[in-house]
Amino acid sequence: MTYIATVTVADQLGLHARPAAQIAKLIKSAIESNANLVVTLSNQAGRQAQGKSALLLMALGVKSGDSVEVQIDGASDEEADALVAEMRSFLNE
Amino acid sequence: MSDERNDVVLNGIGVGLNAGTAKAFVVASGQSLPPYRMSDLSPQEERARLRDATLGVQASLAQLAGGASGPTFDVLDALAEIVVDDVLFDSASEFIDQGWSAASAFGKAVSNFIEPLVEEGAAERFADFEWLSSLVQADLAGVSLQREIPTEGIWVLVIDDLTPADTARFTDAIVGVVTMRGGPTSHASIICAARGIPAVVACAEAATITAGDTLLVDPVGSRVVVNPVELQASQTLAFEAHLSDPLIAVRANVGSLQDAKAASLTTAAGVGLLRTELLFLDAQTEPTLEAQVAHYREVFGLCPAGPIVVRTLDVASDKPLKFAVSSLEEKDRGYRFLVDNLALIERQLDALSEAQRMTGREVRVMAPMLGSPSQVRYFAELVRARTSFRVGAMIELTSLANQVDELAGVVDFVSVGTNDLSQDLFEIDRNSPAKPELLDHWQPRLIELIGRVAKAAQSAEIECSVCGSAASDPTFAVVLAGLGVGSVSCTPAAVSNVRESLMAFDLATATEAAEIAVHSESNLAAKQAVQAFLTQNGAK
Repeated sequence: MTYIATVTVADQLGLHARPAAQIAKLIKSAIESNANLVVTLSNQAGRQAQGKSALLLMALGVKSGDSVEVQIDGASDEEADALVAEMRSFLNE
Repeated sequence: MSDERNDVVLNGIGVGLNAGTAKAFVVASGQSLPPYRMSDLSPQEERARLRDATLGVQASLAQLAGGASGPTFDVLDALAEIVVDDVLFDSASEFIDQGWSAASAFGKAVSNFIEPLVEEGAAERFADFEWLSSLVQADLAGVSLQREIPTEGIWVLVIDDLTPADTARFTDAIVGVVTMRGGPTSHASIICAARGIPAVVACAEAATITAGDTLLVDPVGSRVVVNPVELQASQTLAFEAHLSDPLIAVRANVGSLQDAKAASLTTAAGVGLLRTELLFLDAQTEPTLEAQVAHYREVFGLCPAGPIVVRTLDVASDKPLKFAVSSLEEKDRGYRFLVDNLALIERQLDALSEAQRMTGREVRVMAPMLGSPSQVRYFAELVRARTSFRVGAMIELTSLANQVDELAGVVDFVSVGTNDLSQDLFEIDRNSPAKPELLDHWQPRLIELIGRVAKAAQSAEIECSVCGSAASDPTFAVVLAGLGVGSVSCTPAAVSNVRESLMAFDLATATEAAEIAVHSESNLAAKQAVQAFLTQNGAK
């Protein structure tokens, strides 16, 4: 089941180093306990990045006020909900 | 201290509102990195060395972060994750396969990653990456980048630029900072602002400062004074209200329910800019008419007493809507958006009209980014066909700013958006402002243009207001009143300060301040001359 959520980035600096690193850390540790997990973020132009790479997340160039689409595969809905909730808190929503 | 070097003024960009004085501590640069080179080792060996180095740097960054707080912690903590990012390692690994040493490969991988992004105008996001790259290279080359930061005594630090490793070792011994590079958004500025350390950044001439000089760091004056004798710190202006009402109405900018609540706690005379994008941003489909009515009704109910000026949906902010057509590249994208999404705008107007009826508030509407009087006429007719609102246009493009006289009888008001207008006036690329000073609202050419818009609006019997960040600067608000602008709209947090400054001077003084600003040579000269003039006339 593919799980999709939209998150608006409220952080003034957009998806910058700090939240990108927090998200990457979160996804990496989630993958350690669930090897099937794949998390992909896309910007409004449709460019995609692996959630486990802070670098690729930053390269999406997401600005404050933009939305990002989070796609999660290989997780239960509960797991996905929890991941998205944490990501929202990192992005200051 | 040599006698001939007294009261030498070095200009830069000021950070903070307080000044600091102490002897200069000129920080020597650390050892330099060896140039890129090919390796004598096997790719497997170089990869192992790189893995060790990145893990080592990660550990030392984490350790530094442990002793840091606030923004310094944030940066160090983020870099500790980024240094072990697989994308960087894989890219470096390819360079290692080509025969490069681990240090060279990592340096190239980071540059490769940053370069295209810098071209896209995101340079400031990656400023710390260069430093990260040099940490790994230094670790592999066995050189030390550590620089001495004094922890005893009282010093003004003079340095090329601050890295997070430098700021992590800041103590109370640092009472001022002068950097040769950097800018208003660089790490040095963020840290100094957060810690309340007076700083002047991007001060290239600081290279002339020598150990033993006494420095006055004067951020309000955007300068460093070397060996001050006569010169003193510039004061922030304190305005003393003499009038019972501000010279011109002060309204608040609102973009969300939260803003509306904040504005309701101020003495703002209504809302001069209500942004309407928020409701639409996350929506996959257009919100229903009912949902829009409910939203506007709630916001209207919270807005401070007075008119509410609503800006119809704006496409100019790089936020394409999922259910609308936007042509962001077009110069007249405001008009294009109206034409391409007519039904959407009509439903927004219907919702606003219904919410107005339910709350009884005075609502006005204006459209963003229109480029000509005929485009404005199109919008005005659209609004008048469906509502009884007073209609306006934002002045954000020079083409329209130059034709305000032709708007007589077409609209009831205009509102100048200073940020977009200065971008258009100085032809600044939206994503990569090459010269940050051109975006300063104290640019005399921008002030002159606002003055012409205000005069033309007066002749055409149209109200003229200014929203945008310029209106939140209390000193600049006096200039705007002097130019003939009829009202300003600022962030809720600035309402009280802007009102006070507009209650401190009569119209004649404001007019003279505006004349001084228009006839200044530069943004810095305009700001300083107006500050000096208002100080003579009663501000403290």
